[in-house]
Amino acid sequence: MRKWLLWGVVAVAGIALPYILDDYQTFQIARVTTTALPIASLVLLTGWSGQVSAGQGALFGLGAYTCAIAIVSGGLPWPVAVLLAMVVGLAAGLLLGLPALRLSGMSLGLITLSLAVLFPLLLSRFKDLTGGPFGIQTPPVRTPAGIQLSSAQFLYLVTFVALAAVFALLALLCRGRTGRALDALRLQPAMARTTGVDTRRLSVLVVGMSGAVAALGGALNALVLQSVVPDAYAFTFSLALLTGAVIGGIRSWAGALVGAVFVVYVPQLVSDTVGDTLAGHWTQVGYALVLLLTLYFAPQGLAGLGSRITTKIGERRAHQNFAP
Amino acid sequence: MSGVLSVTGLRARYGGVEVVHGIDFDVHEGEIVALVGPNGAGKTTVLRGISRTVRTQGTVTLLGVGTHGKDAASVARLGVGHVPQGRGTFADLTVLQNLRLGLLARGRAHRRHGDADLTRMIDMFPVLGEFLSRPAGALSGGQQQMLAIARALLARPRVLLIDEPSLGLAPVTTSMLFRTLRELRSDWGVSVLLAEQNARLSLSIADRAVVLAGGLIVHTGPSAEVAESGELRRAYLGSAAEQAVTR
Repeated sequence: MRKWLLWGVVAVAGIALPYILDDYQTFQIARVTTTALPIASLVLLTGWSGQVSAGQGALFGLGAYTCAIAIVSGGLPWPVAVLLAMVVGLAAGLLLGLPALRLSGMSLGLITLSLAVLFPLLLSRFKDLTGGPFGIQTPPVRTPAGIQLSSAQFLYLVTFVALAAVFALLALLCRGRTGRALDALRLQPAMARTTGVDTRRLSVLVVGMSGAVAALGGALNALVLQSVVPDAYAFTFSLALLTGAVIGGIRSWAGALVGAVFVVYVPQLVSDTVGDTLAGHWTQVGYALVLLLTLYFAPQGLAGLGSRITTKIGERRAHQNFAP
Repeated sequence: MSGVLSVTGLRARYGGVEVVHGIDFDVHEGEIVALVGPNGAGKTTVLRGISRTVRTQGTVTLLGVGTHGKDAASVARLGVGHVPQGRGTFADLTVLQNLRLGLLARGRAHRRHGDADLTRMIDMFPVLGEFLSRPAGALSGGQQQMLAIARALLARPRVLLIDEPSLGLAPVTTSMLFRTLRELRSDWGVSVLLAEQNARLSLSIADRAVVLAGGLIVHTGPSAEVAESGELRRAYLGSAAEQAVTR
């Protein structure tokens, strides 16, 4: 009950934010909500099903490019382009999941690693379609007539609703029968099969779903930034997402949001501190440092640490109330 | 009695080595069949072949439906429960989560009775009820074995395959566990194929026994008869040792 109340407060705060913040700050938090989506896809994939992906940044990029191409070259309205990006992400995820079944162990990790390395190169190579190194500029999303919001406010609310819907759907999916099957798949796949879990189908389905969610994030991110460029989806971005997922909490939906704040704001903070020239280098150092500290002191991530502290405070209060 | 499980010409190999050489046997409705034999006789492989956790040749049918070409999950949903050797539990999950996993394989007809069966199971193994929120890995060996059996039963299988349940357990715990196994068929209407190295123990609760040695069936018959047979002794001790015992 307390958890639902907390999520209710987060939802109200999320909806209220664009009315409090200016357009630039709203733009920044829209980057956070769109980045939380690929991290949530990692929570599902790694935290719940036990499969590792090093290429979620590429699937995010695939969604971004699909959306941008569909709008600019295909002339599609942005909502249709976003849906198309999700379908392409789902298909890409299923295609990645199928060969991984034939191999064992870390095969999905290695396949997605190859994808993450190849994806920016492919974007630069097929420049007729992708715009090459300069990418594609997308037109701004206009607020529908009759709604008294700026473009930034409207777009943020769209990303926020999408994120809330994805969180709710994934959280529901990971409860009940499917959640139990995912637990079994993650912990002991061979024994899961003898308890009736179709581990092959479930694995592929989860990889597909995580592809769709990552692509959704990418598509919305492209609308927020109004541009897509290959450098934004480099291998290091995939690693940043994975780092964000671990720091936030690999099995926590709230952790996906915490991880996204980390992925969006750390590079900016580093850039403000050491300057643009050294920012890339020091950002990597910052990621590594925070990742190590998290693994040592909060292996369940910052969201897990938060709930542990709340539980401890609750226990202490209860103890004080009942102490003689 | 009708045949619930029928095994015909079952062969299994690991790499280039054949370890089960074409065996035939049936398990009838409500029957407990003991699969006995020394280490390396092929008991575990036979159970794994039936549950399709290893690939085999030959025919396995459950209530007339062949399992050829099916994977382990489909066979489980068809009605084969498998309690593997060792601690067959998900150690990181709680006792309750382990039990609920058992409900995944049950057919649609049994799904709505899940919670009622869960309560029934806790009545049958009260010790599990005491530790519902405890991680399964924190239970004792005997308790984990009970949990593994309970989880398999909650799938409402037609045949339950149990592999070496006495392994690593204290004699008192083993006796208690075997008493429970004897009650399974009446309480849950399940047939049991029990692979157990401790022949005396398994024959004490089984209706029939199949004696395996070197991947072949060397004797089969009612438990009481098998218990007295020289074939059983020969399977365990070898022919020279059997002669010495007889003398």
